[in-house]
Amino acid sequence: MKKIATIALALSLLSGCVSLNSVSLTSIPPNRSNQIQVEKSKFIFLGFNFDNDFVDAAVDELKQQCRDGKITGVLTKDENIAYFLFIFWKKNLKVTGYCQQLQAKK
Amino acid sequence: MKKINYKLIVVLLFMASCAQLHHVQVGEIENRSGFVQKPFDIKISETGVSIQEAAGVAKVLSSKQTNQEIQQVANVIAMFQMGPRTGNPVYVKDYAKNLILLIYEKCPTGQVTGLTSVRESRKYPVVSGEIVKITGYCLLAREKNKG
Repeated sequence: MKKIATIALALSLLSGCVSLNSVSLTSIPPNRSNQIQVEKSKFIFLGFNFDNDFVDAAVDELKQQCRDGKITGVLTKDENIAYFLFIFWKKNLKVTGYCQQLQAKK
Repeated sequence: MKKINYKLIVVLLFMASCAQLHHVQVGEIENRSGFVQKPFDIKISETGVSIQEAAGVAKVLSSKQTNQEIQQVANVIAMFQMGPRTGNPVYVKDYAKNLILLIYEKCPTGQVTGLTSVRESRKYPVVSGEIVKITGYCLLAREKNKG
């Protein structure tokens, strides 16, 4: 009985409820072979969040993954994950896109 | 045991703001080597008001009889502010209208890439800052940049 209670407690502490805050998508290219992805997140305790600067680095990281190219079909997902009794929150930003290598000019 | 300074706690609570993220959008990114990417950011903000919170504060400061009237007024105002929204209502409806002009001011060439638009709120008691933040890169040809 004690074991079951411990497992139940651990599961309730570790699992989170996910809600989707916003989604956006730009036009998708015909060549979708090179997919790149960046994920940025921030933990929030009891709802005390003083800035949203964690999203700023996403573009720079995408650029690093696609040097001398163009990133199109950019899907931006902004999620909220609430953990046990809404004590801990996680803001999660997931950006995926397709890297199109630009052909060198002859 | 040290005495807790409640006044200081109240002042700190009123001064501190909670940042709430409503929407993030990342645009297409041009990362060509022939250009210099000059970063820019634009922030537009307008004051939002929470009528329910204002009514709550007014109720604390007024008599019991007036409390009901305050709540009724707040409820009537709330009926005119129904519908989907992010953050608190603002009373300047087109505060983000000149956003495109501001981007042109920051990047006169018009070659803009990596635009990230963030809609967020800074929440204080009763009022809030309803913010639209745009960051991006202005593409400048390398030759022009050297001169």
